[in-house]
Parts: sequence; structure tokens; C-alpha cells
Amino acid sequence: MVLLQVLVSGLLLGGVYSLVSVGLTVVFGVVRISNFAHGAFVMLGMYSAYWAHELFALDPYVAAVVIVPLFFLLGMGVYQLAFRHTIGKDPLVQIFVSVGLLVALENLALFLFGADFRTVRTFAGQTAQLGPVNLPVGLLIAFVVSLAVALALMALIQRTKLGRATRAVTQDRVAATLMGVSTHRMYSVAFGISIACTGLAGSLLMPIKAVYPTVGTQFTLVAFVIVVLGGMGSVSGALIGGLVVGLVESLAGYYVSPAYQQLAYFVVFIIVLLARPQGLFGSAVAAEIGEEA
Amino acid sequence: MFEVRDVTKRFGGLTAVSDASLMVDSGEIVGVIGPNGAGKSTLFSVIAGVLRPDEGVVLDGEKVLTGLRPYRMARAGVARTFQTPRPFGALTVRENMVAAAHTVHRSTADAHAWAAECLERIGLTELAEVAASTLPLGMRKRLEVGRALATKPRLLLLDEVLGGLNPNEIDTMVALIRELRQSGMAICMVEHAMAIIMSLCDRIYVIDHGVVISTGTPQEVSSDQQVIDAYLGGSV
Amino acid sequence: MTRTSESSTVEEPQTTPSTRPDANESPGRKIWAISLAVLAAIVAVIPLVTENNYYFDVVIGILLLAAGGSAWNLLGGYTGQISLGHAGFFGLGGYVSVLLFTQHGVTPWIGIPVGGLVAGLVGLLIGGLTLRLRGPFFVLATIAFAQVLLILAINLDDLTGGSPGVSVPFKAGVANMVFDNRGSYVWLIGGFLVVVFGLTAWIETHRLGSQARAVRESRDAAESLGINSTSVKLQMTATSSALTGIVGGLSAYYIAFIDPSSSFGIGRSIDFVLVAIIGGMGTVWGPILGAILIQLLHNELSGALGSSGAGLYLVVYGVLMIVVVLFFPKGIVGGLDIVRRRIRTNREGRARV
Repeated sequence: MVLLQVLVSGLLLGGVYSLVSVGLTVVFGVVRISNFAHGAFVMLGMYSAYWAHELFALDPYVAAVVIVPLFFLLGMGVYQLAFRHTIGKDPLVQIFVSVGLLVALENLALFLFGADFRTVRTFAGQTAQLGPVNLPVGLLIAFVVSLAVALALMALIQRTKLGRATRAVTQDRVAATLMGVSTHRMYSVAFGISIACTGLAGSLLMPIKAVYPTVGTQFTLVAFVIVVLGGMGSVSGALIGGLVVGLVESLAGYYVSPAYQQLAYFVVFIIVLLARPQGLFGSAVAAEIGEEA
Repeated sequence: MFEVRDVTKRFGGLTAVSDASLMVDSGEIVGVIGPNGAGKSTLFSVIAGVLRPDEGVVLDGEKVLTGLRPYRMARAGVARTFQTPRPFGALTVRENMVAAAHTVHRSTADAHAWAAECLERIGLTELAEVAASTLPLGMRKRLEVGRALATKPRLLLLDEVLGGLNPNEIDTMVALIRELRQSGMAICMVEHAMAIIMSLCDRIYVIDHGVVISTGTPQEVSSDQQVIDAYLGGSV
Repeated sequence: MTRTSESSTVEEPQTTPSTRPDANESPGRKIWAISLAVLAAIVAVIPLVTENNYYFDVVIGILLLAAGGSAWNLLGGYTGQISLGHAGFFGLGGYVSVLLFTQHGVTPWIGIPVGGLVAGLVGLLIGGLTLRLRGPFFVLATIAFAQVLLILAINLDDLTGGSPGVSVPFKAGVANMVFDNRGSYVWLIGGFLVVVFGLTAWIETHRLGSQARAVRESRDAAESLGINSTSVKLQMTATSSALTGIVGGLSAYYIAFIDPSSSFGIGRSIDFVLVAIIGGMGTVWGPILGAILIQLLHNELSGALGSSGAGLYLVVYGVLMIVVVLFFPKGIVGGLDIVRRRIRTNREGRARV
């Protein structure tokens, strides 16, 4: 029975991870922009939800309705201001720009809000009982929403003109430009979607997790782990990868020690990077992760 | 004498090179021609150590070179150029040459002296302090050859070093290649410009669908009916 | 890792014994000798001209940042392997040297080099494992490495003392590297910086540096020219991580304290990257100039903003990093180069008139 609880907790946790990762999949997996500040935007999303609750007494779930579109615009703005200038340059430039962004955002939060852990108490903090299993309501909601978001994004990428254009740009930037697809417009929309996802993730996380300025670092790492694990650029891969990482963390916490819970996904990550760089589901990305020899 | 003996290389179900053999003696220019996708580049990659052949061997006299990693191939005396030049972009032309010269000269002073000598030879001394990324294509190809020279190769693999050059640049490059032959280097080149290949090469190998279909002097090859059918017939 | 053993001992192709010109002709040697002397002189003189502890703190801050940035620069700037995990080596060096002293009474004069050695060996191991990874994946692996050490340092509290950290007992004496006079730390840490500077200049002008830059620019082309990229990367990784470990040890003894989050945290890694980028990656002077700028900026900003500005200067750094990377890719050194070249062309222009 305890094992069942551990598995369920792991899956629910994995749902949250999936949500964070799906956003990164769009920019890193599909468009190949490495954004090491991804987690910092999740942190901003959490603070946004926190202050919406403190100042306007809005439930984080309600606040998400405002936060998500705002973060979409924020993402487009960040692309136009910073990442736009990294396209076509040495990939290191992009890494440094995103690290600079990470430093700036984390410390801005530290300056404005201090280092305190802040929490919000809502109905989502309650726990439902399903037979012998405890289901934290907030986690359950986050899980369901992340499933829905992943499905919606999959449909967006597969079915719509926008999605097709984005994929075309990624596959062959020159050809796409010749065909009249504006690279920068596609990329900025992709960035908007990615950051909108972090806004949503932040809103969903706020009722179940404390926020502090450096909370994003762990999300950045987890998200990259999952995107790689999911085979880069596959939304369904990121979804399943998220669940796997959630399970691994939960099982490690139970069988090894809670203190080393976080070590578990680093171990998984390192194994995936070194032994099976094509991820769990993809196949063609090995050459991209490692060098050709 | 460098020799490729019965080399076969497959990619999944596709046989890119099938049972190919080739010889290059010192002081000799050997041309490898064939339609696009015939397997020329694959064969080059096998000789340069980038690809390991499924069957067959690469020999330097009696010494087996097959399967050496590229840097060991280079140290064993096999240098190659890339079809699309790959200069060390942020480094100056001189620094490009020095990096290569260090393969044969441990001491900094010796490496610099040898690099300067090679620069002179390829006629880029004037541009020595310029960043390699700013060179036009013709100069890049010359730098590519110069860097290979700086490793003091005995076998030089030239992958389309004439492609995209203007007539002047082609003349300079051809003169350089002739000079290298004079110095006793073994040269093996893949090229599309038929007229030049015919006048420059001592012997030619014609590859089609991964198979060497003809070999001999330019005259012999160009009168070979099989070659005319398979390759020259259509386009030339 | 199996490759390392063969790599350094690989037979060199026969070199024709050339008519070796005077060894002193090796390019730029004189310039670097002068630079080294100037740097050494500055370090030597500072404790003689002031006794103000505030100035000493500022100077030592610069020296530590410059040494760490220079060590990072060997791997990141020269070899193009961008590590965001150098805090791992910094912390390893610090903890090894401090724990050797507090638990086994080993003097830091031995403990700090041992810490550097441990960091270098771990660097070799990590380098061997992550060699194949490129771009963002290498970065991620290095972050993960430092995070793993952070988690271990917090949780192995029997060994490390856990989150609260460990203090270095104050027993004044040269043997314990505890000096009454802070000026002595300027000589100690400055002396180490001079060594790092000299080593960097030596590498830059010799075979290893030439090959490292070739590998950075194009691994395939470098290999095709006989450069063993594996060996080059490993040599640079080991050197870089060992030097960073020593910086960690010196830092721990200077502040007489060490704790997991300030040693292994990603902020520490970013500090080193920052000074190298702002000063000029892949240049000898870059990290030193970057460290001076960053440290002075830090003091100015915290002076101007007071305690309420805690953290704000880091916002400025983050933005600075973005601006420099996008618009001044060669940092301060690159900027100075452009100025110098312009002056020279102006002068030549005038001479011609």
C-alpha cells in the first residue's frame, strides 16, 4: 500500500515537472534555443500568483487567466530584446545570454521580495482520499492541467499552420526563409508559448510549493533533464519524461533517503546523457548532443 | 606507396563503397572522379580515418593504417582538406598554420618558423595576421591546403579544392599542387572540373555506385566505353 | 578515460632537427615577461603602500576573482568547453584543505595543494565522462556535477559539518596560514595569481594553447591536422580544475570559513564565468581586468545603494553579461585592442601625410 502511495505521489509530482518541461520543449526541443533562465520564469510565475493572491485576493488558478497571456507577451519581449540577437551566432552566446538573464531575474526577485520562503494557503492545499491513497488536491489539479496543456500543444504543433511553419524553420532555416516564413516571428511566438507555460506552471505550483528567488534553478535542471529524456522536441516525450522523473524522485526518496531525492534525477540525467543520448523515445538526436565520432 | 585494398563501407542497407582498391605512389597525382553520390567522399573519409571500413584495409607500404582515429592518421602522414573549408575562424591565418605545425614541431620557435615557411609557400604571408573567418573562399581553400601541408604529410587528400574558385585562383592552386608532386608527395584528389583533372592527374579512378569501374591514365579512362556510358556519356 | 593514458605519450612524428633560431625569438615572449613582472610588482607593492584593511579586502576580492576567472578561462575561453560547474572544484579544494587541517592537523601549505590535486583528478574524471557532450549539454552536465557535490556536502554532515559550514580555527602563525596582517594575504594570493597568469601566458604562446584554440574552433579540422582533441581537452580540464581547487583553498583560509552553498552553489561558478566574459574570454589579461571591474562595481554599487541594494548589483551583472556577450564578444580586452589599433592607424596615417 505504501508503494502505491509512493507511485501515485511520484506520478503527480511528475505531472508538475511535465508542465515545466513542455514549455522548455517548445524552445529547446523544437526551436533549439537553450534557455537556462527557464526555471527563473517559473519563479516569476510563482511570485506573480503570490502577489495576485496577497494584493487582490485572487486564487492562483484564477490569476492564471491573467498571468498566462501576460507571460506570453513577456516571452515575446524577452526574445525580441535578447535572444533575437543570438540567432545565427556561436551557440555559446545563447548560453551566456540566458545565464545573464537567470542572474538578473533571480537577483531582481531577491532585491524586490527578499530571500524569505513565501506560501499561499488555498483549498488546493487539502488532501483528498481515494481508497487507501492520499491525493493532494493541488498536485492533482496540476497533473490534469499539464496533461491538457501537453495535448493542446501537440495539436498546435501538428495541426496548425503556425506549428508547421515553426517545424519548417527548425529543420531548415534558409529554406524556410526563402519560403517566406519569418524566422524571428516564429521564434518569438515559440518563446511566448514557452514563457506562457512557465506562467501557468508558476500559478499551479504556488498553492503547493513555497516560492523564493532561487527556486527556479531546480526547475531549469529538471526541465532540461526531461527534455533530453523525452528525446528533444517531442511534447509527448516531455510529458512521459516528466512522469518518469517524478517516479524516480519519489521512489528514491522512499527507498534511499529523502535527503538524496534530488540526487536521483541527476543520476538519471547523467546516465541518459552518457549512455543513451537519444533519450528514451527519440533516435535522431544523438549526434546533436554528442559529437559525431 | 599508399594503398586502399578491397574496401567496403555500408550504411545500413546502402553500400556506399564496394570492394574498392586504389593506389597512390609518392610523386604522383591520382584523381578520383564519379557522379555525385558515387562514394568518393566516403572513400576519402575511410582513408582519413573518419570512417572505419566494414571490410578491407588502408596501407602505407606494409603498415596497416585501417581504423586509426583521424588525428593518428594525420600523424602517420595522411593529411586531408575538407570540401567545405573549416578554418579556425577566430584565429589568424598564422595561428591556423601554427596549430597544424605543432603536430610536427613540439617547440614553439620551430613551429612558428615552419608555419612561416608554409605560409610563404601558399602565398598567404601578406594575410598572416588576418582572422581566418574573414578570408574569401579562394583564400580559405588555400589556407586549408596550407594547414594540411604544415603537418608534413606524405599523402595529401584534396577534396574539391578547385570547386568555386575563379580561373586565376585555379591557376595558382594547380601550380601549387604540381609543385607538391615535384617534392615527392603522394596526392589524391576528388574533383569535378574534368578538363583540369585530365591535364593534372597521372592516373584516374572512376567510381560509380561505390564501385571502381575504370582506372588508368586520363587517355585510357576517357576512351573506356564503360566510363562513357556510366558517367561521361550523360553530362560531359 | 582509457584514452588519457595513451594520449600524452603518443609518439611524435619525426621532426627534422631544424636550424633553431634563438629561443628568445619565440613571439611575444618579451611582452609576457614584462606583463608578468608588472603584475608581480603591483602585488608586491600594495601591502607596502597601505595598511588599510578595507583596501586589502577589496584587493583580495579582486585577486581571488581574477585567479578563479583565469582558471575557468583556460577551459572555457581557450578550449571552448563552457563549464557552469567550477564551483564544484572550488568547493572541493576548499573542503579538502580545511578538513585536512581541522580533522588531521595538516598544514594548509600542504592541504591547499592537495585540495588542488583532488580537484584536478576529479576534473579529469568529469572531463573524461563529458567529453562527447557539446554546447548546452556539456553546460548541463557541469551544473549537475556541482549540484551533486552541493547535495553531498549538505547531507554528509558527519564529514563536512553540513549546511552551517566549518570555521578555520584562529591560530595565528605562518604554518597555519593565519596572518595578523592582511597584507600578507595580498602577497600569498597575489603570488598565486602571478603563477596562474604566467601559466596562462605560457600555455597561450605554446603548443597546448595553440592546439586548444584549434579544438575550440573546429574539433574535426583539428583532429584532421593531427591534434588529439581528447588529450588537449583533458589537459586543459585538469589544469583548470586544479587551479580552481587551489583558489577554493586560499579563499577558505582567507575568510577562515567554508560552507556548502557559498562554495558549491551555482553563483560561485557564474562569478568566474562573468569576470572572464566581461574581461575577454580566451585572453590572458581578460579575467584580471574583468575581476577589477566587477569588484569595484560591486563596491561602488553597494556603497551607493546601502544594504537595501543587496542583490541589486547582481542584477546589473546579469544585464552586463548579456550586453557584453551580444555586443562586445571579446570583452574589455577586445575593446582595448580596437582602441589600440585605431590609434596606430591614426599615427600611421599622420606619418604618411
